[in-house]
Amino acid sequence: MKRVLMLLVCVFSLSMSSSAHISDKTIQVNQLPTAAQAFIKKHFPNNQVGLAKLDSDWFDKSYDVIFTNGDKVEFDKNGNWKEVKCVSGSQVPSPIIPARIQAYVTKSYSGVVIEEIELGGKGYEVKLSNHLELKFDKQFNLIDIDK
Amino acid sequence: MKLINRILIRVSIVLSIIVAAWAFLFYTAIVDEINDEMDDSLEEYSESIIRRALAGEGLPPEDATLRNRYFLSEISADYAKERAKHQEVYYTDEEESTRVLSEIFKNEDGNYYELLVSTPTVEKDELREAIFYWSIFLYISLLLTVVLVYAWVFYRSMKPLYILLDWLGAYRIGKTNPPLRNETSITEFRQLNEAIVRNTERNEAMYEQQKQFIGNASHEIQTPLAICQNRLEGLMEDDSLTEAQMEEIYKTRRTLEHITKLNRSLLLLTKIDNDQFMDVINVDVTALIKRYLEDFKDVYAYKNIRVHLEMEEIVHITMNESLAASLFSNLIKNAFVHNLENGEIEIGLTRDCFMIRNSGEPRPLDKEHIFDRFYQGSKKEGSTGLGLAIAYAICVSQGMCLSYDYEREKHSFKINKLNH
Repeated sequence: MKRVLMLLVCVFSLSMSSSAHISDKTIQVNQLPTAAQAFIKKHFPNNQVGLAKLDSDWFDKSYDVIFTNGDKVEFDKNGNWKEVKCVSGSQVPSPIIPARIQAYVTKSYSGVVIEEIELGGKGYEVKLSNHLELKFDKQFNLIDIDK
Repeated sequence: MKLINRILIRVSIVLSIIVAAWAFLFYTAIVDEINDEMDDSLEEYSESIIRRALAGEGLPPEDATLRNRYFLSEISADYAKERAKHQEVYYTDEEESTRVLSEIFKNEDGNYYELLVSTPTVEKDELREAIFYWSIFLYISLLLTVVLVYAWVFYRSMKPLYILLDWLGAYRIGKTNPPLRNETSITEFRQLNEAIVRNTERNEAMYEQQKQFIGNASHEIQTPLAICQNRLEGLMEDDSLTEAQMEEIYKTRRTLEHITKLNRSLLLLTKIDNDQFMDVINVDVTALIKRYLEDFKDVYAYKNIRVHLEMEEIVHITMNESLAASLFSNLIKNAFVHNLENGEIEIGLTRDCFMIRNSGEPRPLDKEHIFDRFYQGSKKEGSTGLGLAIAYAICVSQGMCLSYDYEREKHSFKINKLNH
């Protein structure tokens, strides 16, 4: 009986702590990881930061940066980029895009630019200015096309 | 309390605690999950609005179907800095039951804006109520299932135990008992069966031994006693003995007679205690009492005792015949032996109760010890001191109740719960 009660208390406290809300916090640019700051300086040298946020939940952290022109970059907790989104019509800075993806897009869709790129656990996902979504695996093989 | 009931009560108590805890956890988890999902969608919504606002694209119209709302306003830099010190972005539940996300951002010109996005949240009360009722439903259905399953499993698994209990309940030592038929593959029950069968066999053997011993002892003692008596009688026929010697021999013979009687009574008592009088018949108590009464009236005629009888016509009881004879003769004899000259005896008999009252020493006897062996208020001629002990032992062995009272200057013995 006592053991059952102990177990309940444990489960209960665990659930309480996990339900303690994941806090999102606005931060200053200099509070970003240095890798992220370097990334911004390198690829978005002319952009001003409109909003920088720290998303932290129980297991992980990530950083969101929205520039004043509407572009957005998301970093993981080490400051590596996870997602770059540019306002429609403008292009993701080309050094960010892996060469083989760029080559594929240039070859297959002339006159189309890459507006968004996302690096996930499975591979890359890019969104083109013609509203196509391409998915590549980590070896840059095309695995899916979404309209 | 039956074992199954005890188990079911405990299970239902534990179950109610578990279900209550589960309901609480489920509720917090659901609310948490809902809030999480809402926050995610709010964040996405807010991000899209901020990006559109910053890029100078047109802001989206109010989404009437989703009832998501946003409110964008320019704020002063001071206010923005003030806010920046605190937790900047927060979610709140308002009274209108909406979840709100507020974010502050800066545009190219360095102007600050505050964006509030909101979405209606679920009614927590309704959710709570729903979960509460569902938990009760879950509890009842779980309990019903558990009770049924437990009862079924319990009776299925405990069947050998109940068979054993029934068999033990019907078992009578010294009688022919049916063999225990209790096939089971359960080790514990098999061991229990074996242990009990072994035990009953041992008891049976001991019982047999005791019976033999009692038989032997009675035989071995009674024969020498009879021989002694015969020899004394032979001696008394010798004319050469003086008057004084004859007197001594006569006294010795009386003592021997007493010992013989004592021996017989003790053997009877031992047999009663060993439950050796198993054969029962329907005994006509009325006739029995009348017969003994006549005998004792003759024997104790010199005491001139008046007897009042108040008996129902025919009362039958179910018990061993010789035990019944012994019981009533001992009680009636007791009433005569301990009576005064010109004393009185009252006998009452109804269907359920036998009562005998006699006058005697004008003081109550010790209730605690009156039925003990060899307890005697005062030594009486022809009394072994075992009569009441025998009567009491018989009553106990037959499940009847013998009690003593001193009322209206009479000693009163009463048997309740006569067997029928």
